[in-house]
Amino acid sequence: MSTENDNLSPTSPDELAIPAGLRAALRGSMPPAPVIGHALDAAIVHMAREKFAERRRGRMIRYSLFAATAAAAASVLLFFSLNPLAPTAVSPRPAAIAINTTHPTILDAFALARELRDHPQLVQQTAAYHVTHRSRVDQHDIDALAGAAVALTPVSANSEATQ
Amino acid sequence: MKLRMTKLAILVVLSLSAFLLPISTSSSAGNSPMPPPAIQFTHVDIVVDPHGHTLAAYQLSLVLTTPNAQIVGIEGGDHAAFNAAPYYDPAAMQNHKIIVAAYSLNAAKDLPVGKTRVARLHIQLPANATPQFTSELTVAATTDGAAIPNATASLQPGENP
Repeated sequence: MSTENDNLSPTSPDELAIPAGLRAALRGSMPPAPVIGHALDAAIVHMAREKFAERRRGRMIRYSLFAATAAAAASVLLFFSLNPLAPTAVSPRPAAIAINTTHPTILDAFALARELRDHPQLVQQTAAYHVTHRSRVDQHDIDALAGAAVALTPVSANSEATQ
Repeated sequence: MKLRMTKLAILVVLSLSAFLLPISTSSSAGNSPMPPPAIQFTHVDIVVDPHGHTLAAYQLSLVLTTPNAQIVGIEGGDHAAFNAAPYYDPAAMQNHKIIVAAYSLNAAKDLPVGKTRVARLHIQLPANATPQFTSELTVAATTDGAAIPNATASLQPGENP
């Protein structure tokens, strides 16, 4: 009796020096091997290839996303390096009022207070008004001028007074 | 033995007397009138007169010439525009010299135009001494920062509390 299974075997039992009785017993103890046609085999191979291709596509998508994110981050960094977020550049706008920071009187503090009240934006852009050299002109700068005005020992306008 | 105990008792009584005597003496001294205090406290009002102009800012220097007198406190004035304590150097406390200054961003209608107390100094000075000063109005200005040329300042000693 010959089956396709016999043909698929690398070595036919007939070729082996197996006693006929043992051979018959072995054949009787094993179920018949399933018959796999060429079409099914091809389908399995196709499915396997599809699976591998799918994995490759997923990996490519992940790499692409990572590369896109990195490129976006690099673009943002490049943009801000060319356009820094530093405080608005203090332009050399001439001061509308002259402020004496070396020997100020209360009138210098008063003048700056009026400028800050009347022109809050322009004051920020005027270098001469940045008495304490901080990021913004505010009450600290006015207090520094007033403090220097009432100081018993000459001080710069960088120190503040008590009010 | 009895004699020794008697001597010991006398010794204890004498020792206690030595401790208690000064206390009773000082207690009786407490009933006598207290000596007058060596110091007194008073205040001086700083008054600025802008002579009809609106007073928006002032600066004044003051020297206390009374020997051993010193400035111990400062407060603002009567008018709402100068109600807050003026600017001053903290080093002026416990000192005899001070520079005071203040400004107001109030509208002209809310600023004083006549004689106004702009600040009050609290002073410590020796008992029975009267506060004496020299003062100089450095500047007084109107709302636009223009100086008031005829503005004057005066000091008015207060009564002892």
